[in-house]
Amino acid sequence: MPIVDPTQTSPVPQVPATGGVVATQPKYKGVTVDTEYVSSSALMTHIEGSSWTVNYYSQVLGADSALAGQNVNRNTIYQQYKLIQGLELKVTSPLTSVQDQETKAFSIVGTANLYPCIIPNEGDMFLADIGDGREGIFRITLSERKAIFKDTSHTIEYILIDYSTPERIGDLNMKVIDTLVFVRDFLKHGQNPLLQVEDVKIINELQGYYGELIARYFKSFLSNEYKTLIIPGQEIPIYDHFLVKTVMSIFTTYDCPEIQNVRILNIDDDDIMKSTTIWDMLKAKDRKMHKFCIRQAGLVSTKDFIRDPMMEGIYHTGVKYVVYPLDPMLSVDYGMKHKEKAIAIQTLIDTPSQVTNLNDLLGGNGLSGLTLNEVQPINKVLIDDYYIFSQAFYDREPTGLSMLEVCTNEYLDDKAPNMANLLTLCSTAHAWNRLENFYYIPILLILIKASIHSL
Amino acid sequence: MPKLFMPVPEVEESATRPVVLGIVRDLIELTGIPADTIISYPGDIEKVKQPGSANQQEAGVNNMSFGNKLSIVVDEQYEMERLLSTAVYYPENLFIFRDDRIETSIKPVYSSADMSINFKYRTNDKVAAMRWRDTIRARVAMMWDMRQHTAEYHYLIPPEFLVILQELHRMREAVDGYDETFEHWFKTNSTNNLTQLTTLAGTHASYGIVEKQLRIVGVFDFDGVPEAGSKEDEGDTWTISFSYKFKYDKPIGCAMFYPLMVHNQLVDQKYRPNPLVDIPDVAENTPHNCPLSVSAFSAFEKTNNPVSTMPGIAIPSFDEFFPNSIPTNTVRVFTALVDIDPTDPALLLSLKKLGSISIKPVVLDFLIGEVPFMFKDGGSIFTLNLYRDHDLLDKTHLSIDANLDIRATVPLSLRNYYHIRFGLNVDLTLIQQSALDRLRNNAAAAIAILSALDQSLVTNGLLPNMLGNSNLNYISRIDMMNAINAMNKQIITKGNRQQGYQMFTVESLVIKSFLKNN
Repeated sequence: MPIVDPTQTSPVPQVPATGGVVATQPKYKGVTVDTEYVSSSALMTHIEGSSWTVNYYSQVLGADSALAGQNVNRNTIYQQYKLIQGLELKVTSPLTSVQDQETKAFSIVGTANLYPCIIPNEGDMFLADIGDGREGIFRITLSERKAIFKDTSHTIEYILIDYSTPERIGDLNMKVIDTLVFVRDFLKHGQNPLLQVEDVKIINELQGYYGELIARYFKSFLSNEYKTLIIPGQEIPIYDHFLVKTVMSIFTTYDCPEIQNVRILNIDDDDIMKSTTIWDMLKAKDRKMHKFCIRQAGLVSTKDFIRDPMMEGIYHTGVKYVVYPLDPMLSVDYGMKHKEKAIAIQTLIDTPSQVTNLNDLLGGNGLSGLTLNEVQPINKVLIDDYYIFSQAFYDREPTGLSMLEVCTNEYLDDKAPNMANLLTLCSTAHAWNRLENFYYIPILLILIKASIHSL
Repeated sequence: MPKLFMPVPEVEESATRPVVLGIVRDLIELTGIPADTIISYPGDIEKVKQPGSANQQEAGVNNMSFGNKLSIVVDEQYEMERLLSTAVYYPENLFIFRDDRIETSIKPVYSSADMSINFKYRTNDKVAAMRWRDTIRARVAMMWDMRQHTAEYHYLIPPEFLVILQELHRMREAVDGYDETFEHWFKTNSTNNLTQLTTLAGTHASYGIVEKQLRIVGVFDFDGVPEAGSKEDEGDTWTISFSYKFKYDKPIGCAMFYPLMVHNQLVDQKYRPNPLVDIPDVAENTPHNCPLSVSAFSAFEKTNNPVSTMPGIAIPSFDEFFPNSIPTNTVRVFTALVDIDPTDPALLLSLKKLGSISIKPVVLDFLIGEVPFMFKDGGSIFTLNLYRDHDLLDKTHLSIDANLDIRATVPLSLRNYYHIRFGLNVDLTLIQQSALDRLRNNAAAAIAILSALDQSLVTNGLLPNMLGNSNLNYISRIDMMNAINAMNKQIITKGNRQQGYQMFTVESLVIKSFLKNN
C-alpha cells in the first residue's frame, strides 16, 4: 500500500469566517474619519503662480526605466513621450538668466507649480515662448511633490537647453506616442483636463453649435407678446408648460440673456400639469422614470383653467390652448377636487421649415455618413399623438427610432455618445421644420452638454 | 567584398539595464531578500522617478525612508586583456543574417564588460539585516557564494544595415529575381532570435535580436560575509553595503559583409568602400603623391606583406577579390569583375580594352600568338581563368580569340558574379619547352615580362640580352636559364612558395591610364 493515497484529498483548512466587519458603514457619511477616498483634485484649481502655457513632453516610463532628458541620438523605442499641448504652468519664479563670464554661456532657469493632473519627472521637456518671440526647449531639473496625499501638485524647476532647433523639435515629435490637450475648463468642472486631440476638436465643434442653437432658439420662439415660448406656426397661441419649465431650469442667462424675458405661465390649479414627462426623465437622466412618463398629449383650452384674475392664471394671458397629457397618472386628490377637462378637437399643425433651400440642407458635410434610407435624423413631432417622440421610443422598440431618439437612448442608458450622430443632428438642425426645431433643439442641447461632460 | 562595422543604436536600455536588473533579481531570490524590496537603480540623472509616474505603478503611492530598499550603483569597465582580441570581422560569432546566394551576412560584435554592482541594502530593522547576513554566512560555507546567471537582453540591428539590405534586395529582385518581398527575404534568412520592437503606440518598428547569455559567473566581492553594516537614519533601519561582480559579452555593434556585384549589377557608389580608407592593404600598395622616404619604406613593406594581400591589379580598384583558390605557381596581373551584357551574354572581356589600365603593346603583340596555348597546362606563360563568386571554374568554360576577346563557353547565371583572372606562371621551369621557346623568340616581350616579374634581375644584371636584328630578335637559351634560376632561387630562399610569389609584383606589365576608382 502506498504511503500517499492520491485518491484521498487533503482536508480543507478551516478558515474562520470574518464576516466582513468594517469600521464604518459605507453609506454613512458623518464626521468619523475613515479610509474612504474622495478625490479632491477637482478642488485644486487654484494653484499659486502666474499662468504660462507650454507644450509639455512627459516621459513614458516602465517600472525599470531610468529617467533621461532628451537624447537626440537615442532610438525612439527607448525614449517615448506623451505630448500635452497647452499645459498651463503656474510660474512662481520667472525665468532668470545668468551669463557665465568665462564661457559666455547663458543659464536660464525658473520654477513653477503644476496642476495635479500630471506627475512631472526630471528629464521631462517642454517647449515655450521665451519672451522675444522665439521658442525655447526646457528640461525639468527638479520635481518635488508638495504633499503626501493622493491628490497633490508638484513643483518643478527647469532650465533652458536651447532655442527650439528643427533637429530637437523633430526628434521630440518623432518620439511622441500619444498627444493630449490640456483643457483648463475641464479641470474647473472636476473632469480630467487631459483630452485626446480628436475629442478637443469635437468639443470645440459642439460648443460652437451649442451657442448658435441656443441663440437661434430664443430668437425664433420667444414671443414678445406673451413673454413666453409659444409653439410656432399655429393659428392660435398654444403653450407647452412642460417644455418651458424645462428650458427655464436647464439654461441660464450665461447661455442666452433673452431667457430672462421668459415667463412660466400659471397653470398650477391643475395637478395633472405636474405629471412626469419625458423632460423630467431627461433632466434627471433617470431611465427608471420612463415607465411613469406621460406618453400621449393633446390640447386643452385655457378656459378650463382657473379664471380668478387675482391668480394671474393662464386664462388671462391670451394663450388659447395648453398642451395637456392624455394619459396622466392621477393623484388621490384629483378625482375628488377636479372634474375632467375636455380635450380640444384642435391639434397641432405641421409647419414648414424656414430654410427652404435644398442645397443648404445637403451642402457641406451635414449629411455625410448618414444613411438616409435607414435612419432619419428626426421623426416628425406629429408622426403620432405621442408626446414629442414617437411611439417606438416610448415602447422601447429597437427599430423605427430616429437618430435623435437613438442618441437620447444612449444618453439615458449612460452609453458613450455617438459624436458623429450628434454633429450630424447639429449641422442639419437649421433645416428642420419649425415645430421640430421648437421641441428637439432643447433635447439636442441637453445631449450636447452631457456628451461634453462625458469625455 | 565590402565589410562594414556599425555600432548598435543603443546599449544602455537594451542590454546593460536588463542584464543588471536580471542579476539583481536573481540575487534577491537567491539570498532571501524580501520580494517587495524596492530596487533603486537611477540612470545618469541620478534621481529616481516620482512614484506613480511609471506605467505599471499604482497612482497615489509615496516612497518612505524606512522600508526595505536595495540601492544599486553599477561600475562598468572594459576588460583590457580582451580588447585587442575582440572579433569584429574574423569568424567567431554566429551570424544573425546570412544569404549565401548573394554572399551577404551580418554578425554581432561583442566586447567583454567587467561589471561590478555596488549594493546598499536597507532593511526595515536590524534583525532582518542580521538574519540575511547569517544566511549568506551559511551559504558561503556551502560554497554558494558563486552563482551562475542567465542574462537576457536585446540589441537593435543598425538601421544603416537595413538600408543596405533593402538596396541589395532591390538589386536582387531587379535582375533574374526570386519574386520575394523584403520582409520575407529578411526574415527567412535571419536568426530565429529576430524580433520586432515598437513603441507603446505600436509605431517606429525596429528589428532587434533577442539573446540569452548562459553561465555568467558572478561572485560576491567580500571575504566570507558582508560587513555588519550600520544604522543610518532616524528610524530603525539597518544598511549593509556589498558588491557583486560578473563579466558578460556586451553587444556593441554589428559587422556586415556584402558583395560588390548583385545579380549582374554593381552596387551604387555610396555602398562601395573607399579603397584608400577602408582597405588598409590596398592603401599601402598604392603610395601616390607621397614623399620619397614613404615610397622607399613602402617598397620595404611589400616584402613583408601578409599572405592575404594579393599582388596585381583589381579592376575595378575597389574590388577586394580573394578567391578560394588560384592556379599553382601563378601570380595575378589583374582580376576583373565582369558584368554580363544581356545582348551578348558570352562576351566577358577584351584584353585590349581594360578600362583604366592597358597591357603594354609589346606584351599584347606576343599575347596574340599565345592564344591557342593559353588553356593548356603549362602551355603558355600566361594563364587565364574564370571564377564564379569565389570559386575557380574549369578552363573549358572560357575561350579567347585572336582579337583577344574572352568569351564564356557555357551560359552564365545572372544571379552570380564572375571574375576573370589574368596571370603569369612564375616558375618557368614548369611550363612546356615550346612555350619557353616562343617567349625566347620574342625578346622584347620576354624582357618586359621577366623584368616585371622580378625587379632584382635588372639590378643584378641577370636580365637576358636581346640578340638578332630588328626583324628577328631573340634571347639565348643560357640567358633565359640564368634568369629562371635566379628567380627560383629567390622563391626557395623565402622558404615558402606562396610567400615567395608575393615578391612578384607584375604591375609594370600594365600601363595605368588614370588613378581614379573606375
